[in-house]
Amino acid sequence: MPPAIETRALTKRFRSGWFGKPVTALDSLDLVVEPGEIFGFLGANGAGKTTTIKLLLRLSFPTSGEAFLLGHRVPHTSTRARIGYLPENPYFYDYATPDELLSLYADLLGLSGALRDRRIGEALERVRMTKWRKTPIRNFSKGMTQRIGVAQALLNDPELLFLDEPTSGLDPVGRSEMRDLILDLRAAGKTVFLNSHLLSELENICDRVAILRQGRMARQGHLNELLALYGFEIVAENAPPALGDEFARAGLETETIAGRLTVDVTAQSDIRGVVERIFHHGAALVRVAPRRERLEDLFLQIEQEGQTSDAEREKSGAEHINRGGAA
Amino acid sequence: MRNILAITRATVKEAVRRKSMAFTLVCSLLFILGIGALTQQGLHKVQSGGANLVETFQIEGTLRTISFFGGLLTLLITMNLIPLEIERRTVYTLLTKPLERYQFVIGKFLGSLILIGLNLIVMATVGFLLILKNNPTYASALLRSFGILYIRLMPLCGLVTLLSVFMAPVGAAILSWGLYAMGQAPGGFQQVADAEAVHPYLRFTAKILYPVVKVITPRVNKLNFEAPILESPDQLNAALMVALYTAVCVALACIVFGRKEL
Repeated sequence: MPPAIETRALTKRFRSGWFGKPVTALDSLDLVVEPGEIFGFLGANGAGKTTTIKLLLRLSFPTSGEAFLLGHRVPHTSTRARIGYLPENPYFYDYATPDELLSLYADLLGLSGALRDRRIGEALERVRMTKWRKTPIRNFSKGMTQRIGVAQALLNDPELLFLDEPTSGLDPVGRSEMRDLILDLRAAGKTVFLNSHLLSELENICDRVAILRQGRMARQGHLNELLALYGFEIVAENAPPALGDEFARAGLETETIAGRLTVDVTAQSDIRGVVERIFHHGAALVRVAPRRERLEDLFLQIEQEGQTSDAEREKSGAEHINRGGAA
Repeated sequence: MRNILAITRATVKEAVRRKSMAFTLVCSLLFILGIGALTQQGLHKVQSGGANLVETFQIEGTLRTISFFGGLLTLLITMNLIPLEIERRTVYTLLTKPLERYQFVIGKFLGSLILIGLNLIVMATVGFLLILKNNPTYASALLRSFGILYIRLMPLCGLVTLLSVFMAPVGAAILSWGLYAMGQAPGGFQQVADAEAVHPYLRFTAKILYPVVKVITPRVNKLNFEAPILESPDQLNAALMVALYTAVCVALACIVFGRKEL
């Protein structure tokens, strides 16, 4: 099975104005997204995320390199019938009702008759907008418009879905529903390419992530590989004070808040002993979880590393110029 | 074809809600009704033998009003069709469906043509009813005039579509109107080039510009909407040339939009 998305040395340079200096928005991007995975695409503003999506969806054209979607080289018109796309802050014809709007997209997707009506109904049901299907979009809140955006992206039951900031404008309930929807899509074997600034959300649902910095791939891989494992956190409730003291004497880091005891262990082999002591003291085990580096920490670390190397490069460049001037 | 028609339908549905279009249409109707009222006044007061002059005033006035407001409406309708889709980013969700960019441009263009046609029908219905009230024999000639008026506006629509793909909407409208106006009298350059009394530099410039103007302007001067009534020459060739010019404009718009970074 071919990768859902593949790019080979994909590069995009822009020139501002006729005589402007070319700016590299994307520099030799090599990316592989496997079918059925949720892939998080991260980067600071201007890192090249949107440029990448535009190149993949043929809204923009590469300076060099090539891209493939579902095994077909971009551009390939019929492949787009198997793809869904939710742009960031989507805007639709505001006079139209969801029914009218989805009918337009259904026409473009080649859906007709009963299939078209069924798909429109399913898409609206999935984003819980059936009740509003006859209301003009101009009367919708940002969150409702976002739901319609999701509905149009799901209309063709796509194999590959591009979601650009999908939770933008959604309330906590909407975010939770969106997260469930994305997980449902993965369960149904769909590939989701997710572009979001909400790193904690990505961390919870993505299989793999790629982090872009200034148009270049800074890091790419499974979250398990990318995020360092610090140790494990064991939480127990109704723990007697003696239990905390016992762990502290054994050199373990503990914290007790309102009868809830948290113990940090660094080695996996220590877990069994701690859990046995918790049961021995009659406390209730709540959770044993790995303590990893957070995605946000990794992201900030990459940004800091990048800024440091940029500063060093500038400094060495300035010194080189100064030496040249002195000579 | 299904994709093109889908875009055409969406274009018409969206544009009929524009207030600027409704306002311009109302203005044009007020002008036409004003001409009708003046004509009625004139017919009551005129001495015998002067009725023809009043009728000619009404026919010319009505046709020219429809022509002017038709042109204005063409600019208002067409100049924003594609730029607005790009600015509001509605084009993103459309072009990421199995829709070719040329289908999008053609759909938009056809939508404009339908809207222009609808506006002309409203203006012509009011204007022609007032004319036919005084002289019902003009019915078929007026229908031909309506056809010529519509065909004359096609190249303007094509030009605005082409220019709005890579220019700001207002700039595209002004330049299109300028080229369209030049196309109504391209012979003026030839006359300047041949005139002895004109300064040599001006004659030289006119000589250079004339062939350029001939190529880049729509030659609507040969398409006279007053002709079916006043004369009756065969204007089929002129209509074909104008249609060809429009087709070239739309084809170029498809090519330019096909390479546009969105």
